[in-house]
Amino acid sequence: MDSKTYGEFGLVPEELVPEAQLALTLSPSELTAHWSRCGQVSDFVAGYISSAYAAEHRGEAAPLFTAISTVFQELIENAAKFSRKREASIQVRVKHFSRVLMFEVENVTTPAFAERFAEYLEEITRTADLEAMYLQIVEANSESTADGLRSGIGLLVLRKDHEVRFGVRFAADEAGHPTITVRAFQTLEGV
Amino acid sequence: MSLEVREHEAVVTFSPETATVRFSGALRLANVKAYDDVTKLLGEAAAQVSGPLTLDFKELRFLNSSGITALSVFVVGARKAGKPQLRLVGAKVNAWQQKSLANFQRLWTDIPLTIE
Repeated sequence: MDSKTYGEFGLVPEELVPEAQLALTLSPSELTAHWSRCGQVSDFVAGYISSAYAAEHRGEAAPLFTAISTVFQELIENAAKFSRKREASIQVRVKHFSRVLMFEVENVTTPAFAERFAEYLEEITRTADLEAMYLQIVEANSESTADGLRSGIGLLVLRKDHEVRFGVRFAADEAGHPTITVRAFQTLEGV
Repeated sequence: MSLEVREHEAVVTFSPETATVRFSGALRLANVKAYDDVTKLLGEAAAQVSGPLTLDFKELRFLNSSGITALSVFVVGARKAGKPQLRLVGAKVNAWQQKSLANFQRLWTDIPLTIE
């Protein structure tokens, strides 16, 4: 499968050396079995990055900490929910460039989800009015039955409310399973 | 009657004396369905109050997109029913609240939002 990219995947050049970086390998089945691990790893990443800043930016109540954790949480939730559950892993890379964070989350998924996600990305990157798209999804959800409710607003809220910029690459692993690599770029405010 | 829901990292309580639902901790549940207990509490709180119902998020550090969706559905339901009138209270320290709580206002423009 040829790779295909959407959005601002190459926003930060690969050769740019970060001030700090870390890489994690996570198991989607362990995250979905013990969901609070998504929050734990999000808080860990937020704590790791925010520790580079002054005392008022550290700690779980600090706006910087919550901003980082909130963005990472949505990315890792998506990867956990929409991964192939067996043998697959989620690869995370975090790079800290001065006031910009790059989160890269790669997971192996199913062809059906890859197709659905590509359609969602087309819509989210094409729309000129994110607020209208948000209202449309929420109003549609309010008409659904409780069992059929899917949020579907994770990346939209990150882009709309947290000014996160995105790029996504679709490719395939050695076994031919589709892979999705999401890069999210967050500007750290107030630091 | 007071109501309470305890999740792994969060507590949601309803006080009939103050007509307030108070959220504290981190609400990062797995999907919209996982918020059923919270939305049930909101529904029961809405049925108990005769005037406005305050949703106090000041002590809530996180709310994920599934939680935003679950609460949005409650807000739309209240708007369609015409009651209860809702009031939203957030805190500046929780950076996400200024923008994400405003999303609920967009669903029902009559809702006052206070960020303390």
